Amino acid sequence: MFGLIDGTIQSVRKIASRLRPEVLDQLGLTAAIGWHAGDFRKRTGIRCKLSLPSDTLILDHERSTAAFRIFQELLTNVARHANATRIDVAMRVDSGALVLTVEDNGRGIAESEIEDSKSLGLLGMRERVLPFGGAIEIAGARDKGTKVRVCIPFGLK
Amino acid sequence: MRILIADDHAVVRRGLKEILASEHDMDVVGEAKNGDEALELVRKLDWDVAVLDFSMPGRSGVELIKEIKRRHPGRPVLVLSMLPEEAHAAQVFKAGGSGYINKESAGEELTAAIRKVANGGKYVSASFAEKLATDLAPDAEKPLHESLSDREYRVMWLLASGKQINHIAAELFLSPSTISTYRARILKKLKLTDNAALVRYAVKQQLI
Repeated sequence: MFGLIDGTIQSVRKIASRLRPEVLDQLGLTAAIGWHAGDFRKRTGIRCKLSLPSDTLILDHERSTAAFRIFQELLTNVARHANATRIDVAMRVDSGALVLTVEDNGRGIAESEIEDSKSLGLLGMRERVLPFGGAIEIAGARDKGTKVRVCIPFGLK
Repeated sequence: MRILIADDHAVVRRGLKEILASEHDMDVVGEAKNGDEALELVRKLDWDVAVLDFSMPGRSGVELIKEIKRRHPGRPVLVLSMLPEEAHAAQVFKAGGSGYINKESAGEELTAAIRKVANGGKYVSASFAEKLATDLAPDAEKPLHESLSDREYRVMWLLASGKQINHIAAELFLSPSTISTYRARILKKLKLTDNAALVRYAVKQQLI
């Protein structure tokens, strides 16, 4: 009996520690983004409005991981630096590429901060999409907010 | 009824078999410990209902359900999962699955669910049915906090997290009196009287 309980506890632990990537691997990118946004709202009190595709997006492991990690990083930046009360997230497929936009209503990133990209992990994000020939565009308007557009083409392997 | 089970944890497979053993008309004819094994058994064995774990090594989840349904469109697939069903029950049904059970309630619901799907029905747990009904409800039944503005929502969240007015003012670059005004407006909109009630509301609505 104790052996059985120990086994169960170990299984649960293993599952719990794997939960993060598991959400991504098993549920796909769309559900993982929805889940993370819900978690973010609970942790920060910043509302997230989501506009996600209703169909399951079939995306390879590398691209989903890149998109999800960038999304996590973007939300972390909003929580840390933006002083925003709301985020609008949109994900869609547009001319052979996954396009993810994250827009907040905070103070707006300054031009100098975009150029000093290492401070906000922007460099790291750009490096993540480089292998796919992707790009990240960032635009800030003072006291209006920041908009980030991440584009990951499907074509290149 | 010939049942196929697939789960990567031996202890779960054992539990499932134990539950099914008490049903005289249900036989476990095969057990798989990952998605690829499950597909092989699906092909080799004669079975009536497949009971799958949603998350297994190798092929699993939506992909596995779709593959099984492609080969045997007429046979029901029931999905078990550790994750709460809000997370992906909809995906399971979209992929062609006939039912979804959270592992937590599998003990009570498994045999009923198998019978339901074996007869061509869909199995939806009471809690997921409630969520579906809530999603369909008209706007009038939206929770009160939906009527808060974005900034009111954030102030509400900070208050519910136990932050003092002065602290919130500093964090949002506003004056303490503005925050007090926000607080009064939030309490009115949520039909609450004090911060304790606010905390209780936030916890109940899972806002914090």
